Formats: sequence, C-alpha cells, structure tokens
Amino acid sequence: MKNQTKISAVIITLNEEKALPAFLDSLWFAHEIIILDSYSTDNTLAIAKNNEKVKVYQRTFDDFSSQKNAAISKASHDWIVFFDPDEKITKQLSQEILNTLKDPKAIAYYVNREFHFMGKQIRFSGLQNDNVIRLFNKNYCVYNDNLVHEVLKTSGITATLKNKLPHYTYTTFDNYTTKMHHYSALKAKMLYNKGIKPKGYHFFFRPWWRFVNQYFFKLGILDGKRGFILAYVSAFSVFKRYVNLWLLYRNIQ
Amino acid sequence: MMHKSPTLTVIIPTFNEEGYIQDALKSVAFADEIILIDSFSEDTTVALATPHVSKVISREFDNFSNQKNEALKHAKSQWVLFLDADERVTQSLEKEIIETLQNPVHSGYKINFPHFYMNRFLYSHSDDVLRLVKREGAHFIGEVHEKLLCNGSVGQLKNKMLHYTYKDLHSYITKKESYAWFQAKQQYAKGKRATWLHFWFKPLFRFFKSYIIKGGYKDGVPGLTVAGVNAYGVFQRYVKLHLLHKSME
Repeated sequence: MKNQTKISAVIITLNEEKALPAFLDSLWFAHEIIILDSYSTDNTLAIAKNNEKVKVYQRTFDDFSSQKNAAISKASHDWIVFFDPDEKITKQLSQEILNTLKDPKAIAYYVNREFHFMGKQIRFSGLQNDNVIRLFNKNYCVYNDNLVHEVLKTSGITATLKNKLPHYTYTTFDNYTTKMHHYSALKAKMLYNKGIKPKGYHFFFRPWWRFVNQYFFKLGILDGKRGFILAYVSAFSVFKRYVNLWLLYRNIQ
Repeated sequence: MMHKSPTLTVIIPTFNEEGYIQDALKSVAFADEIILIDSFSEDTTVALATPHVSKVISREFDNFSNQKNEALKHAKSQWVLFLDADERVTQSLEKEIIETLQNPVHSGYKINFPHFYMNRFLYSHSDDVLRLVKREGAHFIGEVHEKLLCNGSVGQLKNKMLHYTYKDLHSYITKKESYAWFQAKQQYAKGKRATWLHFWFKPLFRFFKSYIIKGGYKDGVPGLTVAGVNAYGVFQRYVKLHLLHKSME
C-alpha cells in the first residue's frame, strides 16, 4: 500500500481570533498547517501557536496574490489545501479530500461554495455559489497577480470535488462592509495601475447597473431583504471604487 | 478696556480626537475658560488637552444634547461658544467674536460652516449654525440632531468656521456607519420597523436632496460622493434597524 500523501494546509490571517479555533480543528486531516499572518492585533497568534501542527510566519499585507503565494512558499509538502477561515470544511469534504489524494487524477480541485449572509443561505443574487480551487499541487499552480479576486493559475488537469463548502463571510454588518471597502480600494488600485481614468458613466451608470443586474436579472429579489441589502452594498462598493480611483489620480486619501 | 467686555467659555465635546484636539485648543486660546467634556476617550485626547483647558469633565455618552447641557452647568462666563475638535476658529473669526461680545446686540450668533472635503470647499454644503450664545437660558434639545436654543434674538457672524470633517474617504464612511447604529438604536427604542418603503425610498430621497436640492451637482465628484455616502448612511440606518429586530449585528 502507498503511503498517505502528505498535505500542507495554508492560511492567511488578520485578526481571526473568533473563527480560528474551530477552523484549525477542521484541518485535522492536514500534516502541517502554515499560517501567514499580516500582523494581527488580537489573539490570532497565541491561538495559532497553541496548535502543535501550526507553523506561524508574518508578512506585511500588500495584496491577496502576493500574500497567498508567499504563504504557499512556506509549505513543505506538494499538496496544498488553502481555505479561508470563514469557510466551513465539513467532515464529508475532508474525507473526500483524503480519498481523492490516494490516487489524484488532477493537479487542482475546485470546490463549490455556498454563500451565507445575515444568518441565511443566499439562493440567488448571482452570489449563491462559486467555484474556487481549494486543493492543489503547488508545483503546477500559482496565484496570478490580481490585487483582489486573485485566481489560481493552473497548468494541468482540474476537477471538482462533490461536497459543498459553506461560506460564512458575514459576522457583523460593519465587518462585511469593511471587507467591501477594502476590496473597492484594491480594485481602484488595479484600475489605476492599468491607467484607466474615472469617467462620468463609471459614477452614474456602473453602480446602478450593478444593482439592477444583481437584484433583478440575477433574481436577488427572491432573496428578500437580504437580496436587496446585498445588491445595494455591491452597488455602493462599485461607486466607491471609482471615487477611490478619482482620489488616486489627485493624490488625495 | 477689554476687562469690561463679557467673558467667554468654550465647550468642546470629545471622543478619541488626539489627532485634532491640540489645534482646536490653540484656535480658542483667547477664551477666558475652556471646558472639555470627554466621553471616555481611549486615546491620548485627555492627556493632550489637560494642560490647555480649565476643566475636564468625563461623562458616559448618551446623546449630544445631554452631553453639552452637562458641560453648560459648569461654565462660568456670560457667553459660551461650542466647538467640535475638528473645527477651528480662524483669526478673523476670533477678532469678530471679541468685537461682537464687547457690544452684543443679540443673545446668540450663528456661524457659517463651509465643508472642507476632498481638498476643496463645497459650495453646496455650508450651514449656518447657532454656536455662540449667552449662557443664561442657553440649552440643547433633541436627541440625535441636537439644537441649541437661547433666550432672545439671534444674529449672524460674518466670518466662517473652519471644519475638517474629512480625514480620508474610509474614515468618512465608517463615521457614517457608526452614526447609523446610533440612529437605528433610537428608532428601535421607539418601536419603529424597517419597511420596504424605507429601503427603497429613503436613501434615494437623501441622494436627491443632497445632490439636486442642495446643489451637490455643482461640486463635481466630491459633491457626488457626499450625496452617495449620505444616501448610503441612510440605507445603513434601516439595515441596522432591521438587524436589531432580528437580534443580529
């Protein structure tokens, strides 16, 4: 019988004291856990160091791609699982990962995420699910250089795991909007680096379009008040993205 | 002679204003008395202010009216000026205040506040606010939008107050977000619920008011941003009211 393939679990953290204990428990199937922390000011580090499988490193956050690639470089095994602390790795999913790695047919595996918001699963809005790579062989994969919504570039066959991944991105409303503010600032920077200038239609059309698209065309209306709130918050972060871009060209904060 | 003219107390309410308080205090150094009413700042605000003020009062914040009325009880001068930590009395305003108090015609004076925002003054958002009053009979009413009342007629000063509402876009928005909690809690206490009508029309109306009626469109992208963020703040108020009814955060 072949030896069990060794797995490195990799995480990037910033102030994750709440989610971290349960999350580390859910990584029971990994042989080592690499945490790359961007200088948390809460108990993240203490919690991390309590777990004997964990190796902690720190790095100043610049953008998601660089941070994640840096984290992967610390792993000692070829196979990586890379989840976010706000994702719930179910027993079934971890069992499927172990089974898959007994005889891997692909170099990277997608997982289908379910989006939970304000205590309930979102069924529409175009946010209900997305496919993300969470299990891969690091020799064939690298994060592209997107500052936000980083994508893992693969050279080889990919497959999808059967079990779903619940994604609890919502803890409090302020926490959720802060995340969105962070994204819109990073996206503005991406546009700025590409030399794109803010125009009238960016401010007047794009936010409305995002709202109409998400709430009506993608049926967010069927998600009730949650659908409306999500569409509004998305529209506002589109608006904020272009305000940020405008500020970048004028050197104002 | 100067000592003949009425005396002036400046009242400054603060919470975590370490970046702003020193310049605010410098700008009112001409006052006879300065009272800082602090709602337990977690930064160095009080330590920075103490050498430059006559009195520091620490009081748990409930609302702006109660906070400022409490400070009023401690004021000893005949006249009182209310100043926020992000506001500055310019030299010309100082001169006008001193001259006005030597021979006051009214028992209160409004001051004009142009908004300094994203490195420019906004034409569309300037307000006249009653800030300089005779202490006798002066008091605040209203829980959220506190209003200063005085006994007698009200005049207007010519010079403007400098008001730095804007540090950066992110803190401007998070300020609105925490204010939305405050308003949501007040509406919740009154038993109000967030309805679809609120979600759809209140933010839209606020945008319309800020951008069209108040003339925000004349101020380019900063004017549009003020309108957009104001509408977003109103939206958040109802989201948070909704959350309170669901016992969520």
